Amino acid sequence: MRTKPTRSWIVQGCVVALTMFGVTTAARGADRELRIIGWEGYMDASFAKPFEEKHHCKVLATYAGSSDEMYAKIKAGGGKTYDMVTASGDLTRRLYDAGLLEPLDLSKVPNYKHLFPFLQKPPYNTFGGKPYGVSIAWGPDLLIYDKSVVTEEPKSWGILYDEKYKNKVSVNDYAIIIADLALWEGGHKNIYELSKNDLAEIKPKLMKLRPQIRKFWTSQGELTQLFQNKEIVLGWGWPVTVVQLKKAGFPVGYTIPKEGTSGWSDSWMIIKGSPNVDLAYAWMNYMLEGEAQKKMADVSGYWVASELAIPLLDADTKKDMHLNDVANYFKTIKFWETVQNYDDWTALWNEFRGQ
Amino acid sequence: MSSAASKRLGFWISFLPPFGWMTVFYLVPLGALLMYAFMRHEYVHVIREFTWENFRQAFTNIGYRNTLIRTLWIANLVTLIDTLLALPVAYFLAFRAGRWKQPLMILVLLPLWSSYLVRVFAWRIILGYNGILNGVLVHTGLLHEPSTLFLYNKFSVVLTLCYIWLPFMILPLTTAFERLPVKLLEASADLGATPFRTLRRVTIPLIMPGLLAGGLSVFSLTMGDYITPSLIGGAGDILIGNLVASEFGVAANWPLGSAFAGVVLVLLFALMAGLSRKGVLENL
Repeated sequence: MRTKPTRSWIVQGCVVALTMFGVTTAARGADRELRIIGWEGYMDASFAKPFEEKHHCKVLATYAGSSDEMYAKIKAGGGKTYDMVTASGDLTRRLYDAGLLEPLDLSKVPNYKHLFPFLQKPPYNTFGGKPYGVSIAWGPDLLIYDKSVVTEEPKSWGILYDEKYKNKVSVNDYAIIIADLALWEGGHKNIYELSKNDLAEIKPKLMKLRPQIRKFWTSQGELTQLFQNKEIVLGWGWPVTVVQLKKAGFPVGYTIPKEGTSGWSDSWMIIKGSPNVDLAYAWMNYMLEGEAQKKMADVSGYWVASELAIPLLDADTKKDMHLNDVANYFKTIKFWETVQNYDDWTALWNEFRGQ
Repeated sequence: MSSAASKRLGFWISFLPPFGWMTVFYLVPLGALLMYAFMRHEYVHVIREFTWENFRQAFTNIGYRNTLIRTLWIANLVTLIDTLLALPVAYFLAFRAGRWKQPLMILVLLPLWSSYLVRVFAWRIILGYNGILNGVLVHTGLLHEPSTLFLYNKFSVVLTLCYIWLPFMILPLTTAFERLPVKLLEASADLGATPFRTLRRVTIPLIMPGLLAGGLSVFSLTMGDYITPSLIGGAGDILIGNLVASEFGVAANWPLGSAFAGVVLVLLFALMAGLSRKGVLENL
């Protein structure tokens, strides 16, 4: 007599649990989510909103401060956590080698043909002859400065070592900057292929930089604040900071000194195991439209990748992005590449940070 | 059933569920974590071969070694400062506060109800170049221009950690003072001991378990913190917690991160084992 109610209890419980499960999955189907991990500025509401409305979905953005952070987060969760990533060149091959990427079918991205020719099937997102990424934007790493203190435009990255600016500098907490030191030093064939010996040679220069640094920044918003609060006057940074500081009326200057600079060329990539591949294709295609590219450039200051955007940009922006001679200008920037002995780089970086 | 047998049954019934819980949700994950510490990370792969390499790196790389030493140093300093700050406060609360005791206790606990991040950021607003402290100092003419000496260095890290963990020191100390039998103090005085001698021979030994319990909390909380140094600390002021966070969350080098975590665990476990002999754990 006593077992019966117990059993019906269990059955009822199961039914309730199953219905709840069914309801939640159904709800998820109605309002889908496109989960993207990437750089600040790439998933801004100004251009994500129209896409969300058209495709009845939500674009869920996770912002990361470095390629390494993106890699660690994707590696930990795979396609279960994220559908897409905005990968810079130092991340693309690492993701491919770790088996975390889905190869692309470019026929599903009709706007691909509007990409600048040098951004079509570039080596940093094409592996084994197959495309794995669609370019979004690109740009240089900048020397950003407070014009009210640094009154003359710096000619050399050496200004970061100037005694006058001791404890007044900020750089990203990001081991890829070791390549910049190799660039400033000169004489390296490829600044992203540094042997143990090269790293040992760079080490003293890196250590000399430490007393100059007040704080390592971990997001572009943080760099903006450091400038605004007058904590620093010089920074190694990206265009979002410049855009934000200009908007705030801050006397911001930025330049590419004579040694040249490193830079990034970013691609949308689909994480293997993503359940939202069709939505991801739609997003990649949408982001190459002129309007979306322009809005993206407005909020982030990143340089456009699609020819469709050119007619929408004003003259100053076009000049800033070197659009009259863009193919040649592209060649002068030392774009981030995936570093094979990156564990050695991080070890050196941590020595630099924690010494 | 004999009473001995039912007692044994009672023991297993009350022991097994929590033990099972601890095993599944605590010991197994911890074991998995520590297993990683003996593997090796290379480019994008974890190589599953036994190695001491991570521990070798943790103790030989100057950055890692100095960070470990700095963490121990800062944890000791914060514990010491909090002890000195909490002693008079706890004494006052236990013996002198009278009817103000309850409201004062609530004031001590009040910050714990606000977000940890808010409390850390508050210090950024106070200590910054354009912050409140600099504002006051420049306004009163004590400084000509704002100073950068208050924020983004070890001073700001220690100050903030002391502030954040202080309630964890005040509470067990207050309890310890409350339990102190006043009669013993009177007896000591009656027998001719000076107040200082009473403090040294009677009071301190009796409140010692509470003192060590508070110290253990503050010390281990500091050992595990990484938010304060990353928000308030300068370029070089990272703690071992930052290394763990960065190896897992940035470098994706789980083996090395696990090795750091293992080092912290062993240190704290040894400390805990040592202190538990003095009856500290009952006073937490």
